[in-house]
Amino acid sequence: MSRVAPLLLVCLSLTLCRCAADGRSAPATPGNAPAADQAEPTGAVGPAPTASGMQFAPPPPPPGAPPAPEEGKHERDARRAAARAELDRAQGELEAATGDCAAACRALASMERATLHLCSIADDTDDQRRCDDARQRLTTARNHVRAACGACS
Amino acid sequence: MKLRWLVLATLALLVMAGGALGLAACRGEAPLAGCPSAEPAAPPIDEPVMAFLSAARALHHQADIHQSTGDTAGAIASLERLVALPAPKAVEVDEVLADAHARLAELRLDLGDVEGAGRDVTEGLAHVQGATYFRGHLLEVAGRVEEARAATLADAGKGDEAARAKARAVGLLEEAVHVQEQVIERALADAGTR
Repeated sequence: MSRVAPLLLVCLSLTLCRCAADGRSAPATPGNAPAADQAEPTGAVGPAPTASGMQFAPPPPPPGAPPAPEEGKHERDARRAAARAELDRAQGELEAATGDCAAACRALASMERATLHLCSIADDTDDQRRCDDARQRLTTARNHVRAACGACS
Repeated sequence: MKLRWLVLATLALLVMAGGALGLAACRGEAPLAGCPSAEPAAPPIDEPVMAFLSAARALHHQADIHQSTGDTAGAIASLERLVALPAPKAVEVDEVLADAHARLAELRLDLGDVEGAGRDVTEGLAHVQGATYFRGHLLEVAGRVEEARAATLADAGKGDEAARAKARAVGLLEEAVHVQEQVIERALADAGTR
């Protein structure tokens, strides 16, 4: 009996430790019945049948508790998919912005040529006023393009 | 020149993207007219538009080669072939035609053909409406055509007609500035909202 007592004590300790570890991730299931999320790794909706024919719905995780391993995997996959979608969206926006800047630079070049010609033929007061107005608009547009896109190549 | 290639390449990509969207629509459960399951013969991509853009690109390239050797008449001939191509109805096609007419007008101005340049500007403007780069560029070229006309008339001693041509030039160049200003504002607003 004295030789068996320490063995029983060790077994009891191991069992308690295991229960404690399981308890952190999921509550203990009654008896020897497997937990629903262990029996159904495919993530199918609905409780998994047990050997006894009884069904146990997967219990909700306790508030503030870290997700179960399977749940964590789904969450990671979802996060990864969201990150990929975000990356795709950002790349699309960058490409679109590059296209918008190319369009702005092209229009700015045309605006510069038009202003140059306009001012080169302005020889009276009214024409000079229009030339000045065009130059002012050109300066404003150039500053806007530079601020948004940097230098036009 | 690079800008012209960029525009043509972008237009071609847009047409291809439209085709891809068409293919994506065909993946739905219900059979759609024009989809492979419904009508295998119908092409998903607008082939006439693609063919036009491809031919336009080749002719612009040919004009580049002529221009690089100083053969302005050869460049004009290439672009005249472009604007004479059978043109499918599409915004992209109209923009390419407007751009080709603007280039033709500039080349004709280089040769002193003011009347021919004026005709090309008029034909080009018929392809574009609203505040677009292509319309703004055509207005810019139109202003330069009137500027050249004013100089020719002044040289011929036709002062009044020259003054009227100059006034038209100022008005057209001013309009070009306003249109391109709107194009820039819109492009930067689009970039800012993304």
